[in-house]
Amino acid sequence: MKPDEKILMSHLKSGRYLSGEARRRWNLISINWPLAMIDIIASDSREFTLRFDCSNYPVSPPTARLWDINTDAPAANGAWPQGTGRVAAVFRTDWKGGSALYLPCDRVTIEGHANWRTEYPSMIWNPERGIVQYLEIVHELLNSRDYVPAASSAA
Amino acid sequence: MNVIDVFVQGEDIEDIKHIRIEADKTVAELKAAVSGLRCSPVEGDTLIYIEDAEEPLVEDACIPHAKEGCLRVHVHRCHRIHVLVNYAGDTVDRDFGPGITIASIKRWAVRELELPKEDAGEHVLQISGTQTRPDSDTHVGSLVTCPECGITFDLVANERVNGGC
Repeated sequence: MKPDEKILMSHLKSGRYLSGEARRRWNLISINWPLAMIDIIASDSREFTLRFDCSNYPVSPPTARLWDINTDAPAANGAWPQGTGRVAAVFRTDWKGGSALYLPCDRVTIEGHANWRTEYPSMIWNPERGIVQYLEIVHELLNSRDYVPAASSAA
Repeated sequence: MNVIDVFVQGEDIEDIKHIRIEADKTVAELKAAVSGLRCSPVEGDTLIYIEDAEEPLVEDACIPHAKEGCLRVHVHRCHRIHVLVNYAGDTVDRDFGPGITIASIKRWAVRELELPKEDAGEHVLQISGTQTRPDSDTHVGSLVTCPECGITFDLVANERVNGGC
C-alpha cells in the first residue's frame, strides 16, 4: 500500500470519521486507489455519492465529483442536489463540466483562487483533518436550509 | 458478549476517539478505559458525561444503554463550562456541562439572542480571537482546560463561496 493510501485508510478509521458514519452522515462504498466512493446523506435521506480522487493524499487535497454508482459514470445533472444560496454555489454543473465541487477544500477548485485562503479560512484544506473536513462541509450543506429536498424540488 | 462502540471527547483528548467496550461494564471501568486516551496525564478528579447531558454519570452504575449501538461520552475535570456568546454588540452567557455539543450551544444562543430562523442557519460559532469554527458535534469541554473552565464564542456569518470563477 502506498503512503497516501495508507494515510487515507487511517483517516477512514479515525474516531471522527466513524462517529459521522455512526450518525448516518456518510458511508464508505468502495476504494479503488486513488478513487474512493463515499455516500453523503442529505436531510431527506437521499444518498449522494461522491467519487474522490485522493492522489498524493493528504499533502494535496482530494477532488470530488458526484457519481452514479449504478452506471459507474458521472451523475446526470438532474440527479445533482438542488438548492439555493450556499448549496447552489457549491453544486455547480457549470464548473469544470461538473468534475469538481466548487469548494475551497477541493484540489481542482482551489487552483486560481489564492484569495480564498484569507476569505474562507475554515474551508481551506487541512491535511490533519483530512477527508472528514470535506465530508463535514458537504454534509452540512445537504442538511442546511439552502438544500431543497427531493419532494419539494419535484413539486 | 455484547460489545458497544464508544466515541470519546474530553479535556486533553485530541479530536474524537473511538473505543469498544463490553456493555456490562460499570461507568468506573469505562472511565478507566478512557483515561488512556489523554495526550498527557492530568491532575485532579475527572467526571464522565453522556453527550449533551448536564450532569455526570454515577461511577458505580452500569454503562447506560447505547442508543443506535453506540455511546458518546465526555471526560473532564470541569463540572461546568462558562460560555459567553457575542453577537452584534450583545453578549449572552450560561454554564453548561462539558459534554454539551456546539450544536446545542448554538441553538441556545440563537434563542437567547432572538435571531430569526433564516439568519440562524447562516451563522456559526467561532472561538473569539481565532478563526476556529468547531464542528457541530464537538463537545464544548474539548475546547477548554481546567481550571479556566470557560470559553467565549462569536456568532459569525457562515462562509459562502461566491460564484465567480
